[in-house]
Amino acid sequence: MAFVFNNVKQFSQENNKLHDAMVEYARNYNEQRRGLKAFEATSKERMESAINAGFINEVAKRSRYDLPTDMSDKTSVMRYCNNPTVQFFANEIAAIMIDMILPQTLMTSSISYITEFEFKDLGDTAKFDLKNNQYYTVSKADYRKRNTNMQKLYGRTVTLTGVNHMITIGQNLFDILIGFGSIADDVMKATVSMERQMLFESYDAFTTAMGNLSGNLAVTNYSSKSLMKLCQTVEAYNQGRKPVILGTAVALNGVLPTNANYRYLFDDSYVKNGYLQTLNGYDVVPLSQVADPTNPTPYSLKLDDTKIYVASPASDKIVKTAIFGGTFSSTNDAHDMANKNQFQTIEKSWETAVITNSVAGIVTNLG
Amino acid sequence: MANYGVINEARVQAQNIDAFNRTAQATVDVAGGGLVALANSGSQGNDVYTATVPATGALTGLWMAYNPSNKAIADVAGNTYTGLSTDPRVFTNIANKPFAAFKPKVGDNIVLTAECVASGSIASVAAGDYLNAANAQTVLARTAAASGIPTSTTTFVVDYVGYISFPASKGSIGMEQQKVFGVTCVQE
Repeated sequence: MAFVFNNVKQFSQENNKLHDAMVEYARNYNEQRRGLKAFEATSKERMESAINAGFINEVAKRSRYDLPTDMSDKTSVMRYCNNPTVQFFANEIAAIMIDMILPQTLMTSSISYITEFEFKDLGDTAKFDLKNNQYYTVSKADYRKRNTNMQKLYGRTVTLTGVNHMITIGQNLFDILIGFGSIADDVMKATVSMERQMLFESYDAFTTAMGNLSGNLAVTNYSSKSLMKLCQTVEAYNQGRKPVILGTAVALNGVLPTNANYRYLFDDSYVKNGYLQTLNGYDVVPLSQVADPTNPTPYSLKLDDTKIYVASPASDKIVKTAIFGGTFSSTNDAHDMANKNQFQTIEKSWETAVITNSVAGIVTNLG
Repeated sequence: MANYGVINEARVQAQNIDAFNRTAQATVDVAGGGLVALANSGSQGNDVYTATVPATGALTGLWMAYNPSNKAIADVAGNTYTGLSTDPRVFTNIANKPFAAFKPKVGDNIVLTAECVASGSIASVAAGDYLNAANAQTVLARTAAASGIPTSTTTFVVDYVGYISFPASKGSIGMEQQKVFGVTCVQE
């Protein structure tokens, strides 16, 4: 079960309907992203409309300022939106709505294959005590000695402290109140944006650390035998915890037996999926490709299609992301800006790094 | 910042003989495996010995610091914090705080991390070399095997150069190989 922030727990006790609706919307949204059936019982638009209504009512309830009697009177609606108390509660509820769905959005992402999440409060330090992954050496001995030379296995502690992240967007309360905007869609997009940024940071940390591997943990030319040897090495040094083969669908498409005397039929799983689901007993797990809008080359993708990775998710996730405290949302009053721009800024604190006592491997130059 | 030295007192006489163990206090930090000269406090009831950095002419009969038992880290204001890390290499015996030391005796087997040796000599230490006390430092100095046992210093012979594993540091995968020297005391 996904983590639940304290502010979300409190909110759901006070308004379970909005909470449940938003969580259900996010569940459908995430299933839709994964290509599964979604929004079957209720359409996306109807859910968004219902969440808008729930949001507006919650703002009115908490701010103790009743909604304009005639919601079609846009002047009254605009005046209502300019009320700083109304704005304060609208921001607060929007921020809580992000926290409602962020954990489950992260858990349904392919990020969860490589990244473990730790949820802390603002100002806290996330402390990871890594156990030593080795065993003691055993010495032969005679029977007339009380003990042999003392050994110790030492651990290591690694910490993460929050780094603030911000998104500033042009969403405003007025659009939501008059039905032009969707709070559900905005919250979902902000949440997915955060998830994508966390995936980018996780993936950057992961690929940097994997790229630094050498020796028996780095295979430079693919062959099914060299991949098997890498899997064996990772399994052995993770004390028998079975690894999986990770990569994008394109990278995994080339993970085949080196002997070319194979044939496949149209209804074979390789043809259906584009990759083998299991190779020599090791599960093959695709990482969902993501768009990389920061790359100057149009339509670039973030994940590297030329490398595959071998890691044991059951041993210890390679990357750790600590999320600190709830989400903050604030609005600049349009009348305080020279050009009457209205900004909404969402803030969230997290830090990502490779922190692990596990061994992993990389295959480059896929043949 | 470099790690502090860590020892594994694998098989030492101090394990069985109380008199070879002392509580000491120095005015400087002394890492695990550091050699110090001990002097009685001179006060009745005060069992904390005064530890000083070895000096020329008094390099024998030295005592070796255990790893810090309190595991405290000091900040720039002099405040100390405990319970912050499970890695023994980030701790030293902080100045002006009591710490434990033992008397190395001939035949004692000890495993020292590389940081217990003067930094300039670590790379050249080989089996058969000697690690000995030196003037104005608590870490050990290297004397090449060919030079023989240095005179009038607490000395250990290097039995082997090896590695022990630590979980990797932030940003790395796998286990970190920490260089260690397995030594035997040959001269007190």
